[in-house]
Amino acid sequence: MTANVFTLTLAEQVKLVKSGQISVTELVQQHLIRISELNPTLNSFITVDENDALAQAAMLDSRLAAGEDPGPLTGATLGVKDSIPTKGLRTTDNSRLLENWIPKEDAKAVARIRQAGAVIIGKTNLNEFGWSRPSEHDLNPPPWNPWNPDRMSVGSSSGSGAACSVSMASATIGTDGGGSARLPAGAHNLYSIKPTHGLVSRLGMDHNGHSEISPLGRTALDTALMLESMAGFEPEDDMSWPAEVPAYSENLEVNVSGWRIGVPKNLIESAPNEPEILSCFEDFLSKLESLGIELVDVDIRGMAEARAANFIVLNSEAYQRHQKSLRTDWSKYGPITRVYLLQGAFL
Amino acid sequence: MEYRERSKIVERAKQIAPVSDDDIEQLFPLLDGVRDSSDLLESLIQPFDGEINIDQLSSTVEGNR
Repeated sequence: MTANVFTLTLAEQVKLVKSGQISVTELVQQHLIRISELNPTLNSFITVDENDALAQAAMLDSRLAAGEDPGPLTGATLGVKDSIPTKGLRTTDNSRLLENWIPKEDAKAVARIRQAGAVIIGKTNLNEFGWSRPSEHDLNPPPWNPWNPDRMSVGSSSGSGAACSVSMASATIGTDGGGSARLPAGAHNLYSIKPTHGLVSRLGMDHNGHSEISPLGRTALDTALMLESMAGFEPEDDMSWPAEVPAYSENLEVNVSGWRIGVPKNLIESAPNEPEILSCFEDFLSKLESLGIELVDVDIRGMAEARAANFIVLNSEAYQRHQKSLRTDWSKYGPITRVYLLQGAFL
Repeated sequence: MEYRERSKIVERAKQIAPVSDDDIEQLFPLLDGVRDSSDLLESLIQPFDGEINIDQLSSTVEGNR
């Protein structure tokens, strides 16, 4: 067995699998060992189904042995946020209300990932219902940040961020309404993106129309490969984008010299950022300039209002979604989540 | 935002769910954020008979103009 392949990027792992230097089963076994070593302290995963993951791997190995190419993610092992339904694999939303729910179907984005050759290795931790903040009172205790285990992983796709950053999976999937994938990506030194509405179908998900299924990867290329595999038109989804998916992974190595990028300095400096963060941001801007990019100071108006509008819409939707069960199952909610959900009733 | 008095907030919360006194105490500071967001948006609503006046929009994260 090729040792420590789990530390490589998703793109590198897929390359090794396709060239026959490691089997999918061996790669999945490496990730399962990694999970068994780290998850008891980091709580990144809620559910790991070893038998199912190995069965998926064996199926892919059989196809490779028969000369097939299962797809661009062949052998990549993925952790999926536990708010995204996975066929036959418990999906709890980290809530006692869904503690034993086993979906009969995959969300469309998960089905696409499987069709691209990936193995779903387990379900990653999150704030209860992807809402409020992590709490010891949730169904599962919060995940911890491997970069500083004294701190909780920021959410709501907290487990996806932590699991990806320490290579418990090749990459992970989260969801993002108001930063729930981008924030954990930032806190775990990862890449993520909130896809444009309609790019990645939400079929099979709950009714929160502002939350998008989002990839998290250790490199831009990994994240691009994931997005390409998840995106695409779904005729049954009336919000799906009816256009060809761009080849994101083929457009990463472009010459950026001569580009102009706007920087809203006034807005950034008015935010309560920590000095280390601002310093990193300044280094990043210098790096852009060294690549020949012209930085232009821009004045962006209305961001505070946008934030207020986002707050109101998200809270109204969340309350509407939980209105009935807050009345009937109040005690099953975590004590922090239920109070956060109640905010929307006062708008 | 319609609910600003403590008694009305408690009455409304108890209509919705079997909330405890502890729940109510946790809810009050959160409603400050709800109130601030609502007030900010209400103060910025402009008539739709012309273009939006961007001078009335914020230029910082705190909402300064």
